[in-house]
Amino acid sequence: MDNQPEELATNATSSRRALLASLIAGASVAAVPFLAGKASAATDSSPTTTAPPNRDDADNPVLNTLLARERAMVRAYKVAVSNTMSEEEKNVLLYFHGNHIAYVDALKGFLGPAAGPDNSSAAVTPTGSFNDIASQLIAAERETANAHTAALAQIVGISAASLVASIVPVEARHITVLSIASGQPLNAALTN
Amino acid sequence: MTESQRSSLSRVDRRTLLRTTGLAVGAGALLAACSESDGTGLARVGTVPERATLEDKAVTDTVLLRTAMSLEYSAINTYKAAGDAGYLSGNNSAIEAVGLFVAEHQAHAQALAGLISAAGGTPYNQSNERIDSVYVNPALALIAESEDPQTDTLLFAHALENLATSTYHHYVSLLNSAPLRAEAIRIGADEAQHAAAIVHLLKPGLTNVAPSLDENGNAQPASVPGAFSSLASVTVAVGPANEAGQKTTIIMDTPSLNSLAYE
Repeated sequence: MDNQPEELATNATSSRRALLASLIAGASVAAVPFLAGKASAATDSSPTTTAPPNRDDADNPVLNTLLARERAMVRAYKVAVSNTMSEEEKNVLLYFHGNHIAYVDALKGFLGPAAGPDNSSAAVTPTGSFNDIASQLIAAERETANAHTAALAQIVGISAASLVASIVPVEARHITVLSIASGQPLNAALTN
Repeated sequence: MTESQRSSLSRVDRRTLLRTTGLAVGAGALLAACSESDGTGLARVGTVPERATLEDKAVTDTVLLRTAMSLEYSAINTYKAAGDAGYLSGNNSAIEAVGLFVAEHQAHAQALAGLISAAGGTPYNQSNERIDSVYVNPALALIAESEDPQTDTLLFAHALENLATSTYHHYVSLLNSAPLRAEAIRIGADEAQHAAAIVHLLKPGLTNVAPSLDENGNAQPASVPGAFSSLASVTVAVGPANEAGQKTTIIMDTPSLNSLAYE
């Protein structure tokens, strides 16, 4: 620039400024439709809903009721296992016993410090032949699954509802397996 | 070329670049201003066909219940197709069971219709087109070519009942109404019982209650596949075996945004 004539330097500067100005102006005009599109999108009215909360402490009492019921089921299966002779049948009862322990753990974990004390007795004390034991457990499973289902109609929090919903179908499966294994007709095995 | 000439050439190049760019943007802006708008706020040059606008559909409780209802009809139609094709002929236990399942699916559809109407919606009295086209119809076509259509029918029915269970389980987390969540899982529990009973039809006794593997390391259907109901994809292998002895695997997922029965 130092060896450039003064006039040329001035003209070049003013010409560059003019070009830059027109560039910015052009870009601004070109951007208007985009900005207008954004603005109209932002003002679109879309349906709004109030989503249920993930967690609500108001659910704790009903969850504690379910926890107590599951503890009672764990005790019932413990008695059933001790009164079952066949290894194959005992394995099935042990498997279901383990599932109910998992429900106790899950509900206890969900409730945390709000979990109630463990003072429930066995839901049933199954004795007799395997068919007798199974029918007592079926009745207990039905009552438990129905308690969970009824609780779902009250539970507000989505997380608690999802947890309970993951338990009910498996307890229904317990009913079917025990019904079929104890020789009950299929329509009885499909009743929950 | 002297230093002065190089400097002069450099200035001309920069100017030319700026001038050209400025003209290009200016011309673009002018054309954009003169062109039509397609309603999206984006300017365009020339004539293009009008784009179809996707409707803004909300996933409401009634949409979820309608979808569940469509799944009930897909299950009913599957059982009817298998029955019409005679895949279960000679297996009276399976025929009796399928009769009970169909009756329960029809009862579920009726119950759902009542819930949908009570919620101000319109019941959906047909099967799920998407589920049929991507899962049910291909499975039935494979079963038609199978060396053992009876077993494959039961395997696919087991998978379909598990899919229905997962759908109701999943919808509990989507439904806004707590009483509807209870109704959903009540039906989902029925579907789970169907699945458990089908395992007994496939292999009577207590050997397939818990998850297990066959001699080749393949997972066997289980009456009680886990402590908690699963939301994972449901897989089933049906149809003629290939040279390696493998059947075609169908991986099924619960109805999602592209397969809901919108109103």
